[in-house]
Amino acid sequence: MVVILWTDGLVFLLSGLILAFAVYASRRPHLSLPWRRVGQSRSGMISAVILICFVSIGLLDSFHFRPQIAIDKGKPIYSVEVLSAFDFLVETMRNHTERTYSSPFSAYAFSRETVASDGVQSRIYPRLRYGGADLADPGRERIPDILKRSLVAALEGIGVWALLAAILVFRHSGGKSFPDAASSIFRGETEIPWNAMLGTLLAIFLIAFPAFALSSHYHVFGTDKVGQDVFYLALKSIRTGLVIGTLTTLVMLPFAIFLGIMAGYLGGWLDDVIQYLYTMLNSIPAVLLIAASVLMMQVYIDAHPALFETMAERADLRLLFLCMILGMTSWTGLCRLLRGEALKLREMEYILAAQAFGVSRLRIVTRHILPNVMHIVLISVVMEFSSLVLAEAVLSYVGVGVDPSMISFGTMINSARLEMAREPMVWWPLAAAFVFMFAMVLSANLFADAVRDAFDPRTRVASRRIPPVKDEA
Amino acid sequence: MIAYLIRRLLYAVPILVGVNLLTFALFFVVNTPDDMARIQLGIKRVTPDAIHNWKVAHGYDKPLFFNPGESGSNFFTDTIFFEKSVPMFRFEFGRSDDGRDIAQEIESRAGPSLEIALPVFLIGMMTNVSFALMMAFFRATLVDVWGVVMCVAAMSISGLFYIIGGQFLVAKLWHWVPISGFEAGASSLKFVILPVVIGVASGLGSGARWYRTIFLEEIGRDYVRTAKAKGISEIRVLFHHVLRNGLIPILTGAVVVIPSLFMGSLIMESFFGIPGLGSYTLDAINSQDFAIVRSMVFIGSVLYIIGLMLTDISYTLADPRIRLQ
Amino acid sequence: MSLLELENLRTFLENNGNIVRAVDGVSFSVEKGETFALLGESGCGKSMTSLSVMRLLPDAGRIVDGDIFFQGSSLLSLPEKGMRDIRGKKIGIIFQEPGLSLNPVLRVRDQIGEVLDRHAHLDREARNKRIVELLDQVGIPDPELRAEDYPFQFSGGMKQRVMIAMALAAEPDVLIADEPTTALDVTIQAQILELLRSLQKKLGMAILLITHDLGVVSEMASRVAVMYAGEIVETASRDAFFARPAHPYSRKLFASLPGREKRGEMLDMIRGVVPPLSREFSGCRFAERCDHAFDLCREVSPIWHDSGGSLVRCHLYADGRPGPVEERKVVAEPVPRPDMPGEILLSVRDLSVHFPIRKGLFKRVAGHVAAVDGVSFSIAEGKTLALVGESGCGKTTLGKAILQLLAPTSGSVNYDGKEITGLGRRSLKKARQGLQIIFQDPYASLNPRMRIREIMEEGMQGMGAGDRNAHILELLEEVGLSEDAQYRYPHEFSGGQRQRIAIARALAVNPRLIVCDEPTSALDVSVQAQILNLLKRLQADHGLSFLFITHNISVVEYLAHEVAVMYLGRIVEKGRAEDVLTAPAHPYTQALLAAVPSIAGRTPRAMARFDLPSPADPPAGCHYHLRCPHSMPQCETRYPEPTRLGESHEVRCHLYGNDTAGTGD
Repeated sequence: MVVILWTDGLVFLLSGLILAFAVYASRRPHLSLPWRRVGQSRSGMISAVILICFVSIGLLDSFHFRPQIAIDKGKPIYSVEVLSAFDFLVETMRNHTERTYSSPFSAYAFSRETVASDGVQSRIYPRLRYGGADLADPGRERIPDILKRSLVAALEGIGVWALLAAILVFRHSGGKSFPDAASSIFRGETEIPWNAMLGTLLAIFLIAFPAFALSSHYHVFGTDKVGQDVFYLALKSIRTGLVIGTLTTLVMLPFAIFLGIMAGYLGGWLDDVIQYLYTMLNSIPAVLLIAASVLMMQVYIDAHPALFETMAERADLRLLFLCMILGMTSWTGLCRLLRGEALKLREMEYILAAQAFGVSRLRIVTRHILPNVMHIVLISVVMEFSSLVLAEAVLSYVGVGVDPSMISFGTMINSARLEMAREPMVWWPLAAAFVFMFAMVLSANLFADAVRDAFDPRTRVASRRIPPVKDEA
Repeated sequence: MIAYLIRRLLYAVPILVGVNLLTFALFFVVNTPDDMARIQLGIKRVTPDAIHNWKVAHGYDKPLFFNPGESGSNFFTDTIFFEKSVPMFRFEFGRSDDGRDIAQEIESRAGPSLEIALPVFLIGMMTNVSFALMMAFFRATLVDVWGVVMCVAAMSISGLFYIIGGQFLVAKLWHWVPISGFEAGASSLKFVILPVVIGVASGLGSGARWYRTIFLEEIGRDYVRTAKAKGISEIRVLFHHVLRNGLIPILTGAVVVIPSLFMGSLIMESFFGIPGLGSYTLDAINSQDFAIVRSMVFIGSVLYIIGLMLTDISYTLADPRIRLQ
Repeated sequence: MSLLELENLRTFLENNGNIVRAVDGVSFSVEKGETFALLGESGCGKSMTSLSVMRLLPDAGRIVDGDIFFQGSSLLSLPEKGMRDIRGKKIGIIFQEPGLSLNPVLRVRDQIGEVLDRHAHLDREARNKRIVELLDQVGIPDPELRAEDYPFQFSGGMKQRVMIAMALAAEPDVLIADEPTTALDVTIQAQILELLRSLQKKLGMAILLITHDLGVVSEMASRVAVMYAGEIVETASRDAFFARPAHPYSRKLFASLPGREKRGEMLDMIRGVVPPLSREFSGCRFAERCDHAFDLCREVSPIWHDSGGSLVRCHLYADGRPGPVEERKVVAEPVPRPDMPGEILLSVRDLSVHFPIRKGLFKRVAGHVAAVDGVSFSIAEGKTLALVGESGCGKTTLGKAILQLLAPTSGSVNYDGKEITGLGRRSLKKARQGLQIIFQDPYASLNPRMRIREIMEEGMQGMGAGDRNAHILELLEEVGLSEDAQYRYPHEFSGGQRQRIAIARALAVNPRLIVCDEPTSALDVSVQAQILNLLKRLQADHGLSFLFITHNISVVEYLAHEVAVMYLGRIVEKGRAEDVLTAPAHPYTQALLAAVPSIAGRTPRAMARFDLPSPADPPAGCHYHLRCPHSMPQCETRYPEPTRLGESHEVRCHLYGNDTAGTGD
């Protein structure tokens, strides 16, 4: 049974909007021109490749369904567990749960247990149920096994990469011979830095293919306290981060745009009211506002357990609500920016010219003001993304973030923070959360920089300093 | 100037009323005073009498916003909202739901909060400006390029990792300072130093990068070209002209948070076990103590509004072109 | 040995990966004590030349070839430290925008003192004395007090004086003046030019004057170099240049100047636009726009030839040839000028626009800025009324108020017999169908997100799609744009082309009167000629009326039928163009006309003193009395009533009132 959670629906809606815009913009040079500048940015495109990998995982993780477990009198009975297409792909990782901690690639448990064999009780490190289970003598066979499997997977990765690269070269040959086209791409003579993007993709494949191949035989990032595979948790966290980073802005945008433009363009008492509203919201410490709202939500959820068929639906609603609350606290900044811009645009001569034609206010707002503030909206959306992903972690740590049952970077860190104090230390859950979060936020930041540079007319100044030929001679 | 400040203060009243209204609405939209009493008394097996007594004792035995039983102004005043809000404007916060005096708690906890937040703010500011100036001076060279790369990388790391990593390295591995805890007086230094360093480090990436763009924007202005045309050195141009103009947006942008420093840092204080207002708030959130949350929201808003006023005043001090009226 | 010598200087800029050859092989020399003018239109590389001399290029710029010598020694081989001894000490520079070129947060004293500290090494007392002396020297009143002020406390003209004081503080041998008066009003320009001249006489420095204004060159220069597309195409002494410009481009510049003597004819103009400097040139850079170009011009770049009087880079002068054969006098298309007074189309009575000044605790209205203060005039069908005045006089506000883009405070605007003030949105829309406006800045007046077609369609409501199509094509042809322009976006057009689009947009609703708000002041003179010709032709073809708002007197002389002179919100003089321009009555009009730098050379003039007072606080009595050389006691107390001087000539000045036996001059 297919389940469409609230956030799934919004994620699909957002993807649809982006696709529609891409089609629309591709035929309009003034819209596509800045995107072409983004396309020329090396760091921007490298981070875009990484982001696309994250987004694909997130999208796969957004197709939810409830598996059928039995048929009762012709009526199918569905599991209460909601799974996603992604869960289905990495089923082994999801199912391979150990009893408790185990370190990365280990074949043994992390701590001694008392095991009774042949009536003799001994404290040993027991073998894991899944990690390295098919090895007879892990001590000797484990490393060669890991290397062999990685190598095979890496070769597969290179194969797939080569295929993709060949398709790209073929599409770009445009009259040139295949080797010529290939060399122009690899020497970076193309407008879009394909060579850097292909390099990034290769690097990702060389890590991802072995990691996935090994994940069905080992725990690449170990297991956590309840024996869940940490690699699986980290991958599942990606969707949560993406949803928070994107839906929050999607939720707040209508408010910010509508109120900001109204305040700036119409002015008068409306302006006073809107300014009062955002000064008031701004003056409440954000964490307190979020905490109060989330607690309120939690009380509501706890009071109405019957509303939710599954735990996933409950967690999802809380996630959506968190997005809304974050949106409520973060729209004020954009609103103020847009108000200022609309105030400036109101005096622009093309708007006066439109007024001289008797064009209605609504048309002036939609045809003249809105298109000319969209670059500000876009810049602030992409800049906001990474700070929202980071905020989720902090809020979940405080206990007012996502539902504790929902896998996210925040809950991972929250449940792992005490493990640093253990002797010996359990470092891998934190390390996994760190690596994945860092990769995601860093690439989002770099991409946001590229977008800002391309769209913001102020930053588009040549910053390169060329010394005069005879300087300091 | 005086007229301006008075107007600003008058304007603060409706904002604070709005803030209070919102806090009340949020809290009671799903909760009822009965629920509150139940939580405070222990959820199960509470007699209606006990609930009623608790409500009377804590002043929650009236209607929320409007009292239909009363007429005239009492329609508004004889309510929980009015009776709980008005004393706050006199800065009387009453007792928390578990019976302790909130004002006293705030008084004793503001000190430790400031001991962390103020140094983080000041040292952080200086570090950020220094790094930004360095990058601006070496603009478009490798120093600048790598500086920016480091900044972006540093701002991509969650603040939680700075704390966890710092605690692990400095306190656990090297045993330089205690992992957490607090003592009043001079001995507080050893507890404070690590949180301050971590606070500064975690803000360095985004701060330095932002200030760098401000300085670069100033460097591109015409008056800088005029200054260079006088024959003065690059360093003097940077410090005498660029820094002065660049500091206007930097300082005035930072001033707004100064009053809020009293509120402390939620995360930092809870990680390091500092008995400040941040951890106080966090505990109140977790135990759903409405009286404390309400007071902290109110104080936070007041401090923010003071911050806004200080911002405007600092503009007039930093920029001769601006006069308040 | 020349004081300053440029030898084959080449300065390139890098712009989004393109190389822009801003300065491409420029050589000239400046001698001691002379004023050397570098003349050229925007984007020809003249400012980059001056910045190259100072080695203050923007980060993207770089000197790739050539050398610059100061008193015989190369500036380019100096280390940066050595160059700093040159800047300020040997070569001073002033820029176009005095408002942006002074540090806003430092006192004037400190900014000037910085130069002294660096180059003069005076003790504290001598330093302060010198600062006051410098400010006094550039004509700043109360120099002791003003030294403590910040730049924002000075007016534009005063800021430029401060810049000059700063540039001259260390008594440099060369002063580079990069468009020093372009951002200033014409009366202030006259003051600044006079100041530069007198300082030069006193201090004996050489001036390298960078300008686009032939009039300024004529008044200031001893020698001239004309720059086009990164090269110098002609150098000559001032007298030779103005007596007989040699290069076809120079001649075209003169021919495209509007003026009184060209009233009946179309202006000569240069075809096309300045070529982008990012492309490579073969042959003469002016060839594609030149009327005399022949095959050689397109293939071989011309070398220097002597034209007898000037040096010129043009093949027409090779081997002692005489240059371009006598310019065929461009067909002076006779423009119908019906001198019969037409019917009154627009009449404005006692129109006022006041902006409130709010003060105090509750922001009560404490006073008003009378931006427009009781203005009356009328425009007849098919005529042009020029509204002349300096910036801040309220002329743009008046234009907007007539179109009801701003609500007037009082007074009436009567268009075609109907009152249009105070109408509701709907009835207003109908009433002002015949009124349109063209703005000053062609870059701000077109929405960058709309295609030309959409921009033009905006006003054409109520027209069928088919009609619309035909009408758009018709309009584009009328303003001289190609058919495919309609599917393009504004950023693809140059400033002049955009102004054509703006005109086409205004024409789209078949207006009878167009308010032209400084439509050519952002354009180069050759492009200005194109736009003025277009407007003139449209008037002849369609019988349009224009309210032409401008500060440019020569444009007024060229196309106005009637003139109204505005000063601080009021019209001080109005009448037929011939009357007002040939026999100006009001002292302000006289000063305004005299301040216009003329290509005929310098004439003694009645200069307006001081700056324009603030419109928020105009002087009591006649607003002009503080600046007026004829000020009388009654001027300080009472604003003069209008006095009729002729059939249509009217002036508001006590010199002509019935109560005084004043005489104009």
